Amino acid sequence: MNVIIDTIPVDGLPQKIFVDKKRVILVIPGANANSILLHDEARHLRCELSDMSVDIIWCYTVVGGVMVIGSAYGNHVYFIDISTLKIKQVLQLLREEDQSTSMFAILVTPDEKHVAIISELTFAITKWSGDIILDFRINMLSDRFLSLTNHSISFEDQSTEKTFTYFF
Amino acid sequence: MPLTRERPELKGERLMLQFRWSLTKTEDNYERQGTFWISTDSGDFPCRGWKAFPLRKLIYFTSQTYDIVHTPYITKGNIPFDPYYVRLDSSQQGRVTLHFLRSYLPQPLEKLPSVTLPFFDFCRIVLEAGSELLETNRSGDFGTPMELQLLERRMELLLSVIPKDQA
Repeated sequence: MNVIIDTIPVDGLPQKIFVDKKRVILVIPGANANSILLHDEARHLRCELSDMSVDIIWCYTVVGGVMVIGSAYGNHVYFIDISTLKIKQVLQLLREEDQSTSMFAILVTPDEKHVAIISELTFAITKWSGDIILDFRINMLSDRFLSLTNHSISFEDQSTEKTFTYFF
Repeated sequence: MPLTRERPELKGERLMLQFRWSLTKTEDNYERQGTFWISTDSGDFPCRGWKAFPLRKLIYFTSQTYDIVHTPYITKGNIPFDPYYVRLDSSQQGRVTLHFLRSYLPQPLEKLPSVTLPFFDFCRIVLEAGSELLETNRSGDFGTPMELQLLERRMELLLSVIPKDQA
């Protein structure tokens, strides 16, 4: 398994992310409201990310050296090159305003080649570069996530029990 | 300056589970801010300093625990720390397991290893934490009267269903 997915409560910062045996990225509160700072003390690298409240979700591919990171109630998802701590790509996600229905997840296909980013109102399949190869509007209040394969993502409309599969 | 209370460590006792909290006084004299989290041997859940209303969290814990004791067909309960939650599972006879989870797809992420302990030990921990929280709230004039009464009532109910030799 070359991909790690985990979450960090913002109230619990600072925290450490061990990207490999020798490398630690420190996650600390940022200078601005709802921002965080990724800090590599050893290499003197820093990267500030905005729109990070309540809970941070991150996903890291060891092979590609890319971290995909967003927050439970945020609209932005960042693709970070971990070797330089530079932002490669930022995606803006459609989110439901009512936070009580919040649903946000970053998933990876079994072959670890693609990333699926799912919110209450939309999903996107991307490459690790952040390039979108498929995106669609969904409604996770009625649709239930079923599965993610190397080439498809499936949801079930719970009111009709119909399955919708999107291929990429 | 937040008021902080922790369950005192008893000599020789190995603490497996501890409710930890702080209260912050606000201008309107009601508890509007605070922290509440759970410490186990493996770490803190959801994290040290998780912002929450301690009274409401303990009302949840006492209510869910009471439901499990009082209602034979209820063996599970969830206490929300959105998007995290604690799942109480009493399907093992006389014991309760606490699972420390985060909602995720396709299934929840386990954030800390689960803790299993005798059911009535867990009840005692909940009641002790409730008593300390009530005392601190009342001495510091925190919390709304309704919340305080609700927690007190829930604690009385929970205490009433615990066998005398276990209380």
